[in-house]
Amino acid sequence: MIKKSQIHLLALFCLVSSLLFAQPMLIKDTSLKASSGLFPKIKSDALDKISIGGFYRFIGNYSSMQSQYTEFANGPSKRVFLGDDSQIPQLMLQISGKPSVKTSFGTDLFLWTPLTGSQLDYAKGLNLGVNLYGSHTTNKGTFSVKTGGIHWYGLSPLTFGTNTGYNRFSIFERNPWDPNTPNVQHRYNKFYSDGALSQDVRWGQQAFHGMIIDGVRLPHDLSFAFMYGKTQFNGGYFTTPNNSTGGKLRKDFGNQFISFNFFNGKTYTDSLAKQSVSTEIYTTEVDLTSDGFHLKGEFGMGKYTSPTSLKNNWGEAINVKLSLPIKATRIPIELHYYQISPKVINNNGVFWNTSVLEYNQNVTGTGAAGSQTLLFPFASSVLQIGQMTNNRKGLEINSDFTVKKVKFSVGYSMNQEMTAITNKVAFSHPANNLALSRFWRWGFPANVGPYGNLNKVYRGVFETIQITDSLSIKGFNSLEISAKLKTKLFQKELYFFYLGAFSSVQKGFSALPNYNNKAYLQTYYNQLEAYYHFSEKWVFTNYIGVDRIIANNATQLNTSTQRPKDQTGISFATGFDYYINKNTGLYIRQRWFTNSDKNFNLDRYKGMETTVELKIYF
Amino acid sequence: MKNRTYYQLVGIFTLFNAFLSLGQATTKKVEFVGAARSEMSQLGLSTAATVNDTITPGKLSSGHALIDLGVKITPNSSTEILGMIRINNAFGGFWGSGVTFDVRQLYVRGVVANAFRYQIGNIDYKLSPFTCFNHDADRLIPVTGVQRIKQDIVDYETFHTKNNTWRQQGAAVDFGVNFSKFVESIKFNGFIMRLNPSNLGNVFERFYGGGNMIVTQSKYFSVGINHASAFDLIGSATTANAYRNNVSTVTYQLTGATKKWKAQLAGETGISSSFYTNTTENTLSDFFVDGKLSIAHKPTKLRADVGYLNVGADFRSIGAQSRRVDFSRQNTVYERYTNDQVVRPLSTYDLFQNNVLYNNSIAPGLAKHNVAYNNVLPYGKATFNRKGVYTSVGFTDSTGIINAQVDGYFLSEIRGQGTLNLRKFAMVKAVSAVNVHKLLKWKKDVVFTAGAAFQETKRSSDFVFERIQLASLLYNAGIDLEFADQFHLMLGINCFQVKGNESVADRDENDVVVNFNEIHLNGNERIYSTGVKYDFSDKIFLTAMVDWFDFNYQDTTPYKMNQFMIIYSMKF
Repeated sequence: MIKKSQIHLLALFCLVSSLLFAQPMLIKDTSLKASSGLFPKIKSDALDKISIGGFYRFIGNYSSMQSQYTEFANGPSKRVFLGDDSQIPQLMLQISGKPSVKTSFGTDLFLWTPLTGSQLDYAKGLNLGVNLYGSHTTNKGTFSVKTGGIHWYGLSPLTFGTNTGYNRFSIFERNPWDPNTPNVQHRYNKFYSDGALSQDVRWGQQAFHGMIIDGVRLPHDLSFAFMYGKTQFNGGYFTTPNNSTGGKLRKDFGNQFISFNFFNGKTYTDSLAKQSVSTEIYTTEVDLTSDGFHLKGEFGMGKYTSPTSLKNNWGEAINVKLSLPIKATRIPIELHYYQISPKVINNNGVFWNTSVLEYNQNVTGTGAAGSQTLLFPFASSVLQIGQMTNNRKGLEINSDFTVKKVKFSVGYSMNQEMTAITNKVAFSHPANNLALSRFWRWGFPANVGPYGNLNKVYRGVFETIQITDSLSIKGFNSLEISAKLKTKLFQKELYFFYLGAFSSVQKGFSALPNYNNKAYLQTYYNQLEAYYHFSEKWVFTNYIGVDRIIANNATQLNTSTQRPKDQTGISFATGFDYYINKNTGLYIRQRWFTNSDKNFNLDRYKGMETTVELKIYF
Repeated sequence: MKNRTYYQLVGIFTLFNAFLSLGQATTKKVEFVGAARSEMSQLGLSTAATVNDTITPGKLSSGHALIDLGVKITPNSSTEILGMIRINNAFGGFWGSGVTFDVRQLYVRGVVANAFRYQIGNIDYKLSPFTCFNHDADRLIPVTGVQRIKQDIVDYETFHTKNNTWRQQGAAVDFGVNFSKFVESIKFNGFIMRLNPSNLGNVFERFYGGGNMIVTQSKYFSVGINHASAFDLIGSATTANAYRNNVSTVTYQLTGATKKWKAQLAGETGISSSFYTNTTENTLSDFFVDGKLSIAHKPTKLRADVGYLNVGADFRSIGAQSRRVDFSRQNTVYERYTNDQVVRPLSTYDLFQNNVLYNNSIAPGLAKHNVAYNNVLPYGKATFNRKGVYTSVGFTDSTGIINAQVDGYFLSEIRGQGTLNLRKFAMVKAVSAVNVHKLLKWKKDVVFTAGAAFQETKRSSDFVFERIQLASLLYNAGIDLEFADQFHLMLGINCFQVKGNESVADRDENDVVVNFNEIHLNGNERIYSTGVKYDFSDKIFLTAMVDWFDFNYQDTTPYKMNQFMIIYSMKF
């Protein structure tokens, strides 16, 4: 009993002692000498904030076909599709942070659901991947580094860049990357006044994945860039090296410059990494101005090497644009000469490859991102003016001028193949291009359609025809006319945009187009758009497109009719843009379309589609 | 006068309030921590022309860019929640392909009643070297330059910190009290970790818990008691034979100092038991003693230690003896080579860059070690069946030019392995760093580092088959030259050579020795490396580096590797 009391007393004494003498320890134990327990003992630094931007884009598409291609004949005639074909999510979150003044990182998380009714049917991922940036400024220049995911970058047109063209295109259908505008008519007004739309960072640039180091404001007005990594054509997860290297050294002279550029790609084709396929191109680019003349040119050499090709098989690449003095010509005139050898292949430059069917080791497979068929047709193509291919040389003349309220942009091209390699010619169907591409969802199939001659690319379809004449050099001629008119109706702005392209393909070079049956192929594309800004928040949009495609008897004939291609494609469309709020727009389009070939009976379809797009930037 | 006092009081009160408000305003509710890194690498492997190898690719390319984005939420002044996701984008993945999302870290921590600190979720934890401690048994000497960068990445990936903590999942609490008389403070640490869940069959819920109490009487004396226990939860599996491992230790530290000298006696001693509840088979219990006397001469900054270590042959402590490197694992890069597709053995080069070889689990069972790399203390100081002395002499130049240290371990087995004869072990390590820029009074850093570790294992016997003679030497040297502001040139060499024989114990699942495998080693490994690094800050750098590796062992097909890497790393 005594013991128990003593124990209690001792316990009480301890408790009182503790209360009297004890002080609470520091909330955060910052002692580095603390050698056991939880770690870390000290609080680490943290970023105060991370920036999040991005957009939400809902796009839904409903189509109803009265008649369709035979491959779909047994399928449904009505289809609902929620989402875009690829790469374009519903919600894009662009996340970035700056760990220090000179460094930053960024990534872009996308979320997407096809609204299938399942609560689990969601997709998530990254679009441009994980990017890291850094810069270093000295009194001898500013150096920056970009590593990681996809960076949009350009070196020079022939080495690493994309075609920016002459802004002769239809703006009726909105692209996934089109921004919301400050007001509802801004898009149309800008296209009328500037002849172009606002483009994002991707415009004229290529996607690159890896590391880019560049230096600007170096002594003697020098600058440089070096890049090592992968392009879309090196994509995939082969463990054997599959990379590209590029760079440039540039010297500026006021507003003029000269630069030396290169871009090489190398892919090993065997598991031992001993045999490779490579492309190389080395160029000099100049931008010179004198007495009203403006010369932008690029000259270089390139080659393609594969286990089966010749070694050191170099070819030339020339791309020269000369703007004439406006004092002399009174209207701006630009002459464009290009000559790209069939030996030069560079899918990362502005010209398409139509000469060598490349060895494709890509793991993603034909039709998927990273494969050639995704982006370019492989055939001698009827091209939009400004677009170049290899195995082609030619001259283009372009001009912009205004007659009263009508703004014209006119181009004429005459070019020819350098060697006769293929007896195929590829062409497109602008009036129904987007609607036609939506026949095949989620893939980029080749050789589809009722006659197996359609190839789907991103937001478009190319058709090929076979020339049955003897293999010979073909000539290509095109005339493009863009006319834009802004007027008023009931005191409200009304815009008319017309776009016409008339091309011919014939044997040998011809200075003038052959709009007759001497041409293997004649294409006549007409597109007329009208936009009426009838209230502060509404624009009424309308479209008519008519394609005529006529081939001659030296092309593959229909086995039953023994007649060549004679196609007519017609599209009527209407819709409206509605400005909901700042950065928020609703865009609705309704299209009726038909296509038929008089002599190829199976090549016909007719239907309608409705597209609803809600886009919100934040 | 009255008014003046009044206004002064109001002023002080206002100022005090302002400080309080400022303190509240600076407590940010959401902060971001983590890291981002991009790596591109090209790795090559080649064998001699005489070797028949038409299968192995000569070059491999790889890389990734990743972000570990941790969101640190502070809902109130005493609570913090951290969730960290990893977004990893493989090199070659375009438009969203090759992307993975993972959770890298998740915890909540805070302070209860202004006294008890707690953390639940992922915890980085250690107690003492013989209870719960993540030993660096395979890193005998530090490296610099290129290999250091690679090693740091491996450490980050495997949650290894310089504090020798284990990254585990569980909960921990600590608190302490300060006294004004008799005793300076008492600190308490407690933890519980879940080592594995039940499979609702024959696998138990396994926990690992314990704690310590450290009494600091003054700066001259402190004593602590530590306890760690791994236990299966009986009833959580269909079997009743539950595992137990208990370790209890006492730590102490006595310090005395004069104007010129400082002396310290520190150590740890304790007992362990390891058993299954339903059987007396494989029951192990033993003790250990570790004590060290340190003397430092303040004016010359010379220091010397001498210690005694005795760790019983049956001492088992899973928190201290779980190994970081598991030599039973295989390489994930160039896993096999030659036409015979032989497994490529693990090398020092792989340890610098392949985090898959590293173990993050505390688990019963003795993980395989490599007798060539560390045969003296393969489980760190907690290596069982060792006794002997160890010593250390160190010197730090007062101007910061030279820092050098030599350590020696002279140990022997306590119990013979398959024989009554005992192995004798010797290990001598020396490391030094010379700040050349301080010597030459240069503004930019020039740091030379070098290190060497020699190990020898011997067992004498009248029988030839019992004799063991194994010697290895690891040495490295590196220079870090800052050739322009924040730009560093790195050069390094890292070599290892081993010769001799050993008899390696082959253990069953209960760690009982069932056989001995005689091995003969005669080989060397060499890594030459160089690189350029730019430091954006002390946490952010960009580097391009290349190294060459030779692997040449008798009875193994020699090979060479080389690697070019670009790394951009940032931590925030």
